[in-house]
Amino acid sequence: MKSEKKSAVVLQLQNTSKFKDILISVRFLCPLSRKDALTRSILSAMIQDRSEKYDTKQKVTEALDDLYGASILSRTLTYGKAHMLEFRCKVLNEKFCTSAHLEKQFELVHQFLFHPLFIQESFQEAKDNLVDAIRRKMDKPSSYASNQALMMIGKDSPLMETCIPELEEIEAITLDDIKNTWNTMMNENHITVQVQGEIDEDVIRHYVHRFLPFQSSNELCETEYLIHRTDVQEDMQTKAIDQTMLIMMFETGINASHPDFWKLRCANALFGQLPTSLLFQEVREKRSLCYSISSSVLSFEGCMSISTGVSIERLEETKEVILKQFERMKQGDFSNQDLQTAKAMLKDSILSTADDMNAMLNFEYQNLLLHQKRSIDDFIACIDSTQKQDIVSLFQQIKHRVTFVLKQEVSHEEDN
Amino acid sequence: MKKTIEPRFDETYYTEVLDNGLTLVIWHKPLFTTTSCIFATPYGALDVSQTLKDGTVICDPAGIAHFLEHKMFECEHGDVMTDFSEMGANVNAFTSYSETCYTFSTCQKDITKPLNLLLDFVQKLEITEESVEREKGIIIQELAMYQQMPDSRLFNETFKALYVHHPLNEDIGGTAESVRSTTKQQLQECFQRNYHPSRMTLAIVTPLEPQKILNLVKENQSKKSFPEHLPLSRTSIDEPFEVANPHAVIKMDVGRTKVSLAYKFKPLLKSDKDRIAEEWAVRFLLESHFTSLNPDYQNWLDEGFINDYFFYEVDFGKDYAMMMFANETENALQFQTFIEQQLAELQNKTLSLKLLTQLKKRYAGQAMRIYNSPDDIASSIIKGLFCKVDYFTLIRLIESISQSQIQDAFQQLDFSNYSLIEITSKEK
Repeated sequence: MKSEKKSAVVLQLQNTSKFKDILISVRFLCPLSRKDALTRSILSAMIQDRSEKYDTKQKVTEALDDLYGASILSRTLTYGKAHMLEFRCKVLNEKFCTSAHLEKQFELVHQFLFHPLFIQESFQEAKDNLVDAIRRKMDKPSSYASNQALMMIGKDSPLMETCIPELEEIEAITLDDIKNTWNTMMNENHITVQVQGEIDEDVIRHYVHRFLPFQSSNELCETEYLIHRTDVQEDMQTKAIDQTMLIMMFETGINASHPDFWKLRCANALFGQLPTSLLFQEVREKRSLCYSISSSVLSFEGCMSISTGVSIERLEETKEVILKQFERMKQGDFSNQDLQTAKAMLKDSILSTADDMNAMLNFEYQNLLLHQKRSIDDFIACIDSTQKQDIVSLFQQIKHRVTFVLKQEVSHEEDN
Repeated sequence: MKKTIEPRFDETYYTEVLDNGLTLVIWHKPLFTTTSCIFATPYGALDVSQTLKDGTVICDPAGIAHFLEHKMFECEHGDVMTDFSEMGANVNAFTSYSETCYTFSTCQKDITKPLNLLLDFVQKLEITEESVEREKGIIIQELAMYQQMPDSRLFNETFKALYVHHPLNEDIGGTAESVRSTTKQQLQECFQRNYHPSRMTLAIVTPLEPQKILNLVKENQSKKSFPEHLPLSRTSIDEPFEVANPHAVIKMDVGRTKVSLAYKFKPLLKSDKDRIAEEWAVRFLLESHFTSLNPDYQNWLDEGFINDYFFYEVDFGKDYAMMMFANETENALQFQTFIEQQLAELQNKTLSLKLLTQLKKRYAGQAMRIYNSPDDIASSIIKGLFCKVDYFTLIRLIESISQSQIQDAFQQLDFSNYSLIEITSKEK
């Protein structure tokens, strides 16, 4: 992937004939604030819904179908203290079609980004959809429980800005807020354009210059930070569900650009990410306490979380077994073979990013955010160099901070 | 080994049927790093009752194919997951209504070990009474997990309301009761009946040399012997035309009511190809009417008849046929009336040539897109072989669908049997 700063935007090009599509991604980054994040969520939905030229859903669909079922996607994501809105357009490479259409693809991206349709109907629809999406998320016990745990560990930190909003917060947003946010996004955000596929780089540069004429692009804003709490919290709520959700959160003190980050990734793989991990083997395989258990790392916040669903009768036993595995990691009570297995799996997962269009773009974007130019091989070398003692030292620094339980009502029917 | 080149898609693949009957497909993707394999048997949740050639009917507890999938991973020294992981390969499995698939993927340049391991563990069942009992707790938690997810619950309850006897009325994993009643012997017998190489397909999508892969598979299979396979089939179900429950209301702890209106049709007694063509013909019409292709769609959203959750599903299987519409609404009856009005309108509607051409262009592009992903290619190989319409044939079949075919397919449907299903708040 070539990365270059041309006038206002960073342009990243990846020339490969591996994929059938040409993918254009435009990413807008700004500092995270709760209101902006919410407004940008609505803006994101409006951008992909209609534009001035394609002012009905029907016209949008016709334009996409004309490009052989092209797809557009607008989404928002947080990277620690920063908020990103991405607009993505994927079109079949014209060499597989009867007509040339790369120019049309850029024209399409131009229309959606530079000429959005800001009308009350579209705005209200986007708001209603966001409210429905939030309700859906709250209705899913695992999502609800994860959100509660994040609120507990993220109190007074930027993590709180990303938690599920209250419906009143959405209601308070106006169409003018959306227009202002779009103006800021186009003129004051850090903007990155990524193009991937079998491309002629000069042609792409020409089209970017012509169709994506951003006037200014700010410097990158800060992304990473470390969650730091001094207290230990436990909370439990009850819901009429079939399974009790247990979420545990830990403070790692290590985020994505930290020199030990890949050691942490190895440790997490060994602890709970993989089917061969201590958690999976001890909690699921040996004791049949759950169907699914996993640990994951929040790279930009310096946290780790464990999530599982168990029957209420075996909740305490599950907690004990999890914490026992945590202690085992601290004591180095795992074999070198276990570590080698975790490393092998992690390396395989990193290598496979090269076969996934979106993963490759995310990989390069993350490099940009972290001010680094690291390759897949660099990460493999980091994984290879991780030793057992590294894992032990690292786990001894990790602090268990939060336990949240979404408890099933005992009176609820057991089966079906 | 037969080599096939599809110039339009710029794709090359190889096929061979081995001496023991195993079908092998090797899809060559030299620019990729990942090798993705699926070893699959056409044995799924709907095969809970099977009939042997001599007429003997064998009935197993619901969910047994899924239970067997869980237990296949067991080996004499523990489970094969660890072995795959040590090789840097990701192993997984899933059971659907009609098939059980075992997969692995890896970026290793030598796949000898994981490929042999896949072939070995799927062709040998090593279980104990104790391990079967231990697995029950895990599966029951898996069922509970899906049970509390409103979206998957809506699907399950829809099938349950439509079907009286057909195994579609059970979750793919069965029920806690059926799982508890499953025995080691039943699992062993299911394995013997359904995992013979002559029933199975191995799909390998890889950047590695195809001939070398073929040699590996042949070498592995040549060392094994299998008992003669007794032909068997899914037992035909005497399913009534009427639905099991015309109106089901399921109470859950949810904030928004989900509704499904589902129609039960008589199964289409046609060849696989004709049946799939007919399903696509109906899909064309539904796609033209119930999505943003229809200018009225925006009004439906604005006036609250539907929200952005709305979707339709049409499925014409070998021994069943159904269609469902789902939405989030507090007024299920209004949604029912709305769908009924639209379906009545569709009875007299002809899909315009312009829309038909537009949709065909879309599907042609989307069809090409699966070749971006080794996993998707492997899945499409299995699906195509098991339903006897391979992916390229399917694409050509979709491209050949005509306006009159669409109209005929839709007009033959009888919408008189339906169920209305509500997943709604406990407090209502």
